Amino acid sequence: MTESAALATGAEDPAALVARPGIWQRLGKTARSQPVGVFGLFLTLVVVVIVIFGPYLATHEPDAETTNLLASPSGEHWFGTDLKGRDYFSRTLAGGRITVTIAVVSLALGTAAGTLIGMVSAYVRFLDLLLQRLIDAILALPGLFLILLFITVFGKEVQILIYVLALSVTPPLVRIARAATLSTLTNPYVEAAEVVGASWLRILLRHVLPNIAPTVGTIFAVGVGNLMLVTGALGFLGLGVQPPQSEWGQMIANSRQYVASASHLFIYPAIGLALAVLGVNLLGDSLRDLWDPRLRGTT
Amino acid sequence: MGTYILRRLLLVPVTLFILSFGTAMVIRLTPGDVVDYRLQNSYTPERADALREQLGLNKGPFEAYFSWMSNAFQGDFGSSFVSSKPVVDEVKRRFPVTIELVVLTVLVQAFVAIPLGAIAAVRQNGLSDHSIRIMSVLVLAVPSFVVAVFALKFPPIWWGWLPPLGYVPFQEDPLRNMQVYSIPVIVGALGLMATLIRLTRTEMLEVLRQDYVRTARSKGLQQVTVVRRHALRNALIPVITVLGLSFGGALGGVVIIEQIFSLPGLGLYALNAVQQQDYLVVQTFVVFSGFMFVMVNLVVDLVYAWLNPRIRYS
Repeated sequence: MTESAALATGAEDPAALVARPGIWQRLGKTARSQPVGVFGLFLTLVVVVIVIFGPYLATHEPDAETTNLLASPSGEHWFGTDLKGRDYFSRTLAGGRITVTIAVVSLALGTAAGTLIGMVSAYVRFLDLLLQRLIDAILALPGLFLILLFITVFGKEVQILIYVLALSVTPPLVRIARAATLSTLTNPYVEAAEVVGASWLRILLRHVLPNIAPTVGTIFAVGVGNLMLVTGALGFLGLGVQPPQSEWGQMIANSRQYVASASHLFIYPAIGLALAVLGVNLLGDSLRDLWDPRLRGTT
Repeated sequence: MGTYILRRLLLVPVTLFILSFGTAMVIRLTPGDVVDYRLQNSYTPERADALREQLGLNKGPFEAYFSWMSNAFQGDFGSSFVSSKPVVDEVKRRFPVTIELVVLTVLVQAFVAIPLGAIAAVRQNGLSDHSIRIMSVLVLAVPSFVVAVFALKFPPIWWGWLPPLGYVPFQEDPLRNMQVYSIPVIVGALGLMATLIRLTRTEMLEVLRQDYVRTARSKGLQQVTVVRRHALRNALIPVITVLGLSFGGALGGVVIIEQIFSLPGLGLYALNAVQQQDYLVVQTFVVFSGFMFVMVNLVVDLVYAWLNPRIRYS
């Protein structure tokens, strides 16, 4: 029985007889087709290492104040010291850790919430009408203003920043997930699932979610860099992470007066932020090219 | 088409109501109120109560919101709690500052990004294509506040040239006004340019493969004519849409630029109002910028339909 099945497929599709290349071969092929993406992956991995192992890589306690103020970079202090004599290398590591964590966690939360709400909204009619009006309203507000409003009301703690940023990325994702769900729902297999009595939850999770996952995944991959910039911008405006905890945007804002006299204070967090954003953007672009079926094979 | 426009217009008041009601309720959740800010040193409970009475802060949130709304229908959006000036006057005074910034930013962005995107597409995989793409990726990664600090701090050190600060209205001194705007506009446009370059390039690549472009070439037209008259015009349809939408977004997104370059625009006004809990200013700002956003989007959609007759809204 199994033999005849194998023979049948073999007869129909000679390509099936050729062994499928191993996972490493396929990864290598993908990597060669996306050299820029590999560079982005490398930068992203550096960022990931900083986020996970930052505290072990730090040479000093990031918040420890000394009398060695505004020292230039040296063997003892690789990135020099700041106004309060704190080791700037350790502070840059700690700052990057918090910037990246806030961006990634809030985007993940917002994406998950937006996807769920979008799917449900597309499926449940009466809810849809209400939700879409609410989202119209939120989208009509300038994004940064919405964030400012909520931060002022609820405070500037890291947790709250994460929730507020997540809230700010949710509405557009609801729109995208809703549109993708609506187009998936027209497929005959969804109708078939309904006919055999699958619950709405099963239909959404088993039949819709896998179909809209590439779209949502692409939005996530392309959005991380932007969210890092927003986190940094909040820190720069003094509305983000509060001292003594360091954060890239906040460090850049505090170094404004010393750009000429102690340029290392400005340069390191600025380069850190730019490289991190560059890395995730390049990686995100490559992933989009790989995941988006419309772009496949165009470049 | 008529019913489509009518339906969109009917939704505008709904959106603005949800927006202003939501904001009014949320901002009243903030601990404390504007009285703390105004009295600071001369604070006594009696004075605070008197001031609350005078500003109408002793009303409940619903009562306060609906009395503001019924006045707003008659064109009276109340006065600022901090400066006691009518909010409408302040918005009228500050709106030109912001709109000039936004229009100039969008124009500079379009006039630089569209030609670059088109060149990249025409020379696909050539040297200029690669350099334009690398440049746009790099520019996208550098935060606009970093560019702004650079632009403000380094020219004085390197060339002894100080970028002019201090807003002057265009009608008073056009030259000075343009000088003040030059750096904020360039900084703002840089941040938005990369997306537009990429979009123009993608659209151009698609259009350049179309039959009518081949026809235009085969009848012996010059490359410049083919690109400008046949390809670019069609590729620009989606680009203009995105440009229009970014215009709507930029209206409120200029907060950072206004803050760094201390331009007395709407964004800065709203930022301060939120922090000082100047409720009526915040509510009016939300209604105003929401209205602008919705109308700009409607116009963009209609222009899109006009440019591309295959689109039919129903």
